[in-house]
Amino acid sequence: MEQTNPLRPDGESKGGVLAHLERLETQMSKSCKQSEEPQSVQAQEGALGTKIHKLRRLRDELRAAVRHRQASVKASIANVEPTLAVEMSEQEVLEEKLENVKAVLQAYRFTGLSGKLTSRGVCVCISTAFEGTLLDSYFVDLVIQKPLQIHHHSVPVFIPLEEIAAKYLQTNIQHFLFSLCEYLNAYSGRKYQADRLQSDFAALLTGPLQRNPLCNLLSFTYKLDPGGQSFPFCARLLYKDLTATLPTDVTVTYQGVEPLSTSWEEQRASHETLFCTKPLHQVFASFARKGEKLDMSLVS
Amino acid sequence: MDTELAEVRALQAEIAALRRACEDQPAPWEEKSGVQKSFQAIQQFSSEGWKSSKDLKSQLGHLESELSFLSTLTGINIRNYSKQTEDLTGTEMTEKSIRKVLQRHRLSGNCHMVTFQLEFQILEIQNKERLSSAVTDLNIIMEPTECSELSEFVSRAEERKDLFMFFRSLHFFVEWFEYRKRTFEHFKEEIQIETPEF
Repeated sequence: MEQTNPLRPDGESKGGVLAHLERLETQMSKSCKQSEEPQSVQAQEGALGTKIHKLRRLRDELRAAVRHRQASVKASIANVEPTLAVEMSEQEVLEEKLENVKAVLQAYRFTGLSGKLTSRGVCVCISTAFEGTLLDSYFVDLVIQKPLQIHHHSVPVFIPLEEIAAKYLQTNIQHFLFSLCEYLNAYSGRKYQADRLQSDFAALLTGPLQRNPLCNLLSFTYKLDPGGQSFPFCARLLYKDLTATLPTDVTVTYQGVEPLSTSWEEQRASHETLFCTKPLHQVFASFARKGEKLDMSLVS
Repeated sequence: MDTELAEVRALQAEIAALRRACEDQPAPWEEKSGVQKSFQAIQQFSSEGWKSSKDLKSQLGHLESELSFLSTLTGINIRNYSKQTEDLTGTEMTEKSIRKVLQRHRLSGNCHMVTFQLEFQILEIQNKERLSSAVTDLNIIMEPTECSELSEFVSRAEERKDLFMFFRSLHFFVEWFEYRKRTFEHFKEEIQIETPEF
């Protein structure tokens, strides 16, 4: 740090800021020496806290000083070299534009489709979600040449990528990507529902959830009253439409020997309907809520 | 105690760097002639300034073409985006290695003649096993407001907090609308040609 003679007239303001900072620094080194003496852990922690506080203040003051100087230098240049000042502010405009463009590019992932230009072509990123929950992303790296090719990708092997590419890739990239989006979002959504069932409602399942990698065939047994005497229901959900997150075929069967009473039969039928119309984990959430009411009605 | 010591070291390093910055920059009130003053300043700025301006322009060009590609691909033209982050992790959560962050996003743009403005919140919860991200609030403002089909899928998207569904529906709706308009214009022309003059 330059030694300033505070009596020099033109060095007045400099002496002001820098001298102030020097004073802060001296205070700092004093408290440093103090904390070097052996102290209890608590006292050391307390001293550390104060030290951090002082260091932060010193840093903030220095930051302000640097900014102040930068602004003053710019102002003085503007007086002496107006064109250079204009060029500098052009640079600032460019920088601002650049920041804005970068931000907007980031924002495209919220549309479900985003990407980057590559030396070979483009790498597209497909984001998936189920209702409000954001799930995995997948990428497809395309090489721009005739014919258009997929260089590499992270799409799971059980998604019919080649089929979709054969249909649309050469004639309409947009259609290809939208279609792939549909399949990936649906797969992500089915997987999410099955995961939630396993993690949140394990208490209502009486056996392991059986599922295939594509998560379009699920099989499980469940009981509405886990501790109760009734036999469990067995559900089989088939999602024929791979772009859908609700099953197309649902069968709920009863595993007992005796025939079902009317009320239980009604239950079984209503469950089939429920599984067809509402997401899996939400159906089980309603089971869990009704569970208490159901117990009451059985007793009476 | 360790994190605090680390912070002390980081602060000391930053302070040292800031000091150097103070020293390097010529203070305009130093006693030097006007020419020498500006020469120093020009030297400092131009060494970084000229080069980076060219780099900036080419960088900007590259990113703008990326933007143009995405806009064409999605059919959505995003013009503005900003984000704020708030760390909601409490001390209890830090002990259990759980981190909670609330993001506030704002974006606006257009899809042909339809303009939109979205404000939404995403809550991120990180625990030892995984990171979960969920949209906790979604507000969509559209222009024009009179179109009932538009407002229908907008309210459904808001209800389900489904961002992707909103953008997909918007794109398809506008495309369909444009197609309908073109078809109508085409038939209008045909009818005019065939209608005899009175």
